[in-house]
Amino acid sequence: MMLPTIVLLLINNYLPIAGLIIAFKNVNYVDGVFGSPWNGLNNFKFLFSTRDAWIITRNTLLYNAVFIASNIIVALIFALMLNELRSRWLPKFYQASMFFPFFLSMVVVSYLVFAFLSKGNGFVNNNLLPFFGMEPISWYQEPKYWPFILPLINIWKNAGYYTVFFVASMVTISHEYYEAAVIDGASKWQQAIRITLPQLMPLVTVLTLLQIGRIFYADFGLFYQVPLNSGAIYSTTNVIDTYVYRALLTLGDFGMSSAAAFYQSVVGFVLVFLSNYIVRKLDRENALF
Amino acid sequence: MLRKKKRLVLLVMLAAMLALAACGGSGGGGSDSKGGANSGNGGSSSGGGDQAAEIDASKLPPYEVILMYPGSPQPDEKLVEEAMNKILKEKINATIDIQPIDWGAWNDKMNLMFASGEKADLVFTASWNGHVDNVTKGAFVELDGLLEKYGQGILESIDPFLLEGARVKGKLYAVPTNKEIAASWGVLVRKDLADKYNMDFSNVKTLADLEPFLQIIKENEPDVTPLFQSSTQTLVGYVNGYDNFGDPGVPGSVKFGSTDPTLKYLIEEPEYLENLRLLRSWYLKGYINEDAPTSTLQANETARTGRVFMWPESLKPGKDKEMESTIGFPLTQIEIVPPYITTADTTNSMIGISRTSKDPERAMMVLNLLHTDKELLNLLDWGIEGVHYVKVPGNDNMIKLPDGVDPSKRAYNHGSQWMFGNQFLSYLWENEAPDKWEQFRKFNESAEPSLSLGFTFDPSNVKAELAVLNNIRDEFTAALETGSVDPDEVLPKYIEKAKEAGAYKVLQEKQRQLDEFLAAKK
Amino acid sequence: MLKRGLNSVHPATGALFHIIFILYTILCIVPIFLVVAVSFSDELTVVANGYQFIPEKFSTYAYEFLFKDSTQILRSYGVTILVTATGTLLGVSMMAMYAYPLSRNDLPFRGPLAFFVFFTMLFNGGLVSFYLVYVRFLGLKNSLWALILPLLVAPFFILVMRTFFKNIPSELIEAAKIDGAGEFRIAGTVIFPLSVPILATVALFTVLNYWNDWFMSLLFISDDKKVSLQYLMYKTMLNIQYLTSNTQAAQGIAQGGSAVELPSETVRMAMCVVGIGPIVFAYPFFQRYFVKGLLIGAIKG
Repeated sequence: MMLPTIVLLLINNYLPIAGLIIAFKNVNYVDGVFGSPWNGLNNFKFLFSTRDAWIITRNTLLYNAVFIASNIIVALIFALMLNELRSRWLPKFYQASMFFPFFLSMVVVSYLVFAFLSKGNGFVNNNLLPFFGMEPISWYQEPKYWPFILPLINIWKNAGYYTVFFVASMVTISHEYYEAAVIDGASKWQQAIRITLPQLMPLVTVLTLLQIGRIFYADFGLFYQVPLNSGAIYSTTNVIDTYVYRALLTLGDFGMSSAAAFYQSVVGFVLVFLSNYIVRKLDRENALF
Repeated sequence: MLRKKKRLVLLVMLAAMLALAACGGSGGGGSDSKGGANSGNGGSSSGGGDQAAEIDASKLPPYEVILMYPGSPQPDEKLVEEAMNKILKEKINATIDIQPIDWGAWNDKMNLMFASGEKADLVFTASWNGHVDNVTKGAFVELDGLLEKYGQGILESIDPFLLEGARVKGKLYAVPTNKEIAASWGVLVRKDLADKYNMDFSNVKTLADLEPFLQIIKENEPDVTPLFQSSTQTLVGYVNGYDNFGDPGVPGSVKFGSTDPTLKYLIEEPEYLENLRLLRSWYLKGYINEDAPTSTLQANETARTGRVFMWPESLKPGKDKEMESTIGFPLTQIEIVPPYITTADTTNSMIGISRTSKDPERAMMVLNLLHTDKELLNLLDWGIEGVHYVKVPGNDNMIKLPDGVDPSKRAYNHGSQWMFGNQFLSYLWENEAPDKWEQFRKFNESAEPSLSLGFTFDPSNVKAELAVLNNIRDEFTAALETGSVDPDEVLPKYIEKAKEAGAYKVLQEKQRQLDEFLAAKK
Repeated sequence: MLKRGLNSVHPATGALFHIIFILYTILCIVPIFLVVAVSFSDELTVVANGYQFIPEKFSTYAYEFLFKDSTQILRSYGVTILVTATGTLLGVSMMAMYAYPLSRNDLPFRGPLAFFVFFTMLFNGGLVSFYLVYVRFLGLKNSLWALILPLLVAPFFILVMRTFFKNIPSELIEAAKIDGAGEFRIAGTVIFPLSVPILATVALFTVLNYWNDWFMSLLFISDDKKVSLQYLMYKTMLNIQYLTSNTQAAQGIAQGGSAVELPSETVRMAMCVVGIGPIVFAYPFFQRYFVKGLLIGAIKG
């Protein structure tokens, strides 16, 4: 039963992993990978040698941590709320609508955000702020707003996606539990906390762990397109992926881009291993592996 | 979240399991392919050119030459290929396979192609597209020998400066397109508006001289942006009068026209700060579009709306007329930096022969034909006569669209003519100056070669520093050069950060290489 | 959704929920309207005046531009539909067949097997070796299979599915075994019918993955007849990004003498609409499977 998948993954994913050694080589086309000279850790230097390195690492980690938490929490809340609605089709409508932003590519999202935040013509500067008597803000030049803007956009785009998982899961919770609870006089709130949430915990754990594994990878579109690649706000929008992209756009060095990917993979791996270990201690069943 | 975010362009290029690629590398090493077993000695080579081989098509095995270049695939490509094949078969028993690759995918595909050893013959390359890096990695075949044997046409027609500029460490790995070899830098201006206010541009020598005109527009035309800039198209970036050897990202430039080979760090030069201050004042006065640092629009796009008066552009004779048909308004140009021949200019459009070619000699022959055979070149450039264009009656060299063809629905219009062969052989469109090519020749002749001509910087030793510097550069340049931030406050930060990241180390490495190059030149 | 009689929230809370959702829904849908509106606007007015909800000057130029080559678009639609359908059917089956045994406590090595799958999410050998495997080793250059295979199995979904399968009471499996059913039988008749919600969810997301993918076409397809729809739409965006972020290229090309034609804002929006249009209907299609009641009820019987 499991064989086809195993074979596929072996070919599709494991075979190419040999490419990881590129991170340590100074590759040229004539010698090929195995013949190319070793380069030690040189390819990794650009990731660590500057104080920007700290900034991008911090940004990546913090944003992803916030994203993971906010996506799950918001999706949970939405799912719970949806579950309580009495209408038959309204919840379906809501859920379908929440899903729409997921379809939009980040490029389009960046245009939309620009329509909002543009200094001269944006909706916010033109319509919203004057309403509150505030001066227009140069959004794309001020780093301090983006730690709020980006998570909001991330939630807007992804909440619908995660909500689907939770709704699908809630659908399988046996009715009996709730009936019993009602008989015991439990309030809605108690029902949610005592029944629904615990039932969803395995899913929440899995989703969280999976995302922790990718914690060093960022949504490139979100961090590159949406801030319109504005240099003035790099301090809060530059993450590892964008940093590497900019660094290598004109250099085109295989070894260095491989080194970056390697770095991201290793950190993610270590973190997820640790988290999984912790989860295992707490609740063996829910660990990833 | 699941969608593995694939980075565009170069980011996730990891090199290959080249055990496999190594087998594909049989084309490497240049001239030892079977194609050489042709009738090289068959014809009597006239005169002293004992190296130039006579080509007897009947003795050559058939071979398909793949031409890869960045551009959009065209609907009528096959038709054009067929027409070209007729000529090619007759002359050298070869056929051509035109393979345009979209710009957005070009870098990825090229690297994959080289790394995986996939067959390709003629490949577009340019200094700004990693040519030197590719040469170092061994992607291209060395061409001197091949040129001697099969490229006489090229050698005869091409401007020697072009070839000189294209050399990497003295050797030639790509053949530049024969066209204008210099560029001047300045701005394009709306002629109708300029005329309306009787503007006289004859005394404009520096950026500051442009100010009065901007002021007039600002005061009298509220709907028009006086000066348009975007993050990649800034006045200071285009018109700074410094030769940066083809890569503005690498510290170290020399002023145009200078004979002193000491490299300066552009951002530390007083002139740069002056320019920045000027732009800043313009920004504050409202001469520049507010969203300049983050704008992803091109000047051409916005110019079409009619709401822009002036924008920076690289110039050549007749550029204003050339752009008129795209922009839709009458234009004129103001040149601020006169033309110099730099390595960047000579190497911004070249064709190389990939090491994965199975018959480099045949590839060279095709290339030679593109530089000498007018019919063949124009097929590639413009398509088939009668279908994609017709000749203007009375002028054999000018063309226009056939009647009834909708300009927005052309079936063969790749816009990449500037990449191929000998452009002086190419037809002119009816809205261009009939003597465009003469003007170009004059332009070429009047241009001064920069002292750096022929020098290209090899970044291998300082890649790590450059990687960091690229980020820093991206962080500050657009904001500073568009005038959207205060240079007195921000420029020092930029300089400090860059120095910390090793800008001087790069500068010194570049200087070392430049000195070596100049010494060898003597 | 579920109808609760006695067990309902206070009407005020219910109303509050509705309000929250309505606001959020507006937030989600309104941008789509904007995108559609801009796509039907006249290009020059958009560049000059920005986005408007009601196009200042209506124009179908963007769509005419896109559909200039309507045969190409139809072909790409065909390719994408074929690839998506095949990939989803095949992929969901394969993933489910892996996840189910993984959920059973009596499967030996289930730890390592889970890890086997998860590891691929973390480590990635890189673009070129991936490319080589497909082109050299498998010989799939320019083949539709190169569009299908890479996205077939997503470890993320496998692991999520496993969680769902674990939820199924083991008594059912025991019961089936006692009845003499083999593993495949159990899977087919007991597990999967009960797992329709999660299967539908994964199927939906797989459909989306395939539909939105443009990268595989970029890498492997050189024959225009076989490119996916998204690639067709997106490659212009890629061109834009390349040329607007790469100063060297922009200057180099400018020097070289070309003006690369980039499509206007309205065309970019139209591309978005064409690209996502059909898929938006996929969601409601799958949604009816997220319905409870009937299925769990069946167990009791």
